[in-house]
Amino acid sequence: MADAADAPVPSKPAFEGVQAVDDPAGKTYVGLTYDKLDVTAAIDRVRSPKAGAVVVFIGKPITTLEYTTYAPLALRSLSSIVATLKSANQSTLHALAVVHRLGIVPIGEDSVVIALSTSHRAEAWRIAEECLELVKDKVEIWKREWFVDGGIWRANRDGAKGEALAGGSSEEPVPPEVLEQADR
Amino acid sequence: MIHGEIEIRGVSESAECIMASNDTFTVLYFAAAATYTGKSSDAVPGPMPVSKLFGYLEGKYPGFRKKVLSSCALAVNLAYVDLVEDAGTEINNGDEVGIIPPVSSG
Repeated sequence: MADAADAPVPSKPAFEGVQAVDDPAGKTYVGLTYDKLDVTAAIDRVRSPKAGAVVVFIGKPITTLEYTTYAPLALRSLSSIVATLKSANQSTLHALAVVHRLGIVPIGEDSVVIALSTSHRAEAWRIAEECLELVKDKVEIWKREWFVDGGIWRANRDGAKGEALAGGSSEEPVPPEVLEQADR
Repeated sequence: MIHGEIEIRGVSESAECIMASNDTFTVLYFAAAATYTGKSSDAVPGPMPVSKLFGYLEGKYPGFRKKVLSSCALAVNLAYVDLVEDAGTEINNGDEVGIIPPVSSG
């Protein structure tokens, strides 16, 4: 078991390229990909001559992480988040794009990009933060942190869905005994 | 003959998958649930009320309920069901049921 767990073994990508829900009329775009994130493309999606501010958030793991997803449900949740933000900020939010990476994300590469354009910068910062919080709270994507002796699935918060776990701190790892057997 | 046995098991598993839409529904496992079961999905004989599913899976994977399922939500055909309010909702054959552990994107 120890040799097998020495290095993360990437699970096979479930699809190629980007799986996305593009709503040109609503000016929203959400996507999932196993490829390196194209931050410039995300920014270009939200540029608007009417928007006075573009804010970009880039999530970067500080350890090697592996992300898995339930793609159709994650895309549905992402679409719902951007639609909610769009309608709650109709007068100011011009365009919004969220793309999350899947599979192994090595240190130094990007795990998520959120780009949005607004009329004024204060709203851009606020909406970007709100968007990130909703994504972390709702979207059906899971990260596994790798150690020399195996991996541990993380949770952004306990009891996000279903019943609460014992404990209550954030970033609570799933009990190690759950994980011992399969990380090989 | 041992080699032959392994092959037969492979055949019966794929046969189970093919039958999924007629006599069974599909249960998908993610993250800690996939790690615990050692697989990404199961074909479960249906129909079955929502309230019976975790018990059925506990029978198949002892300890699963306490260690993993107790913190999981359930999505039937991409819509979340409430484990209490929707306990009587029937899962039909051909349905896709996702076991959803606490999420951790970002």
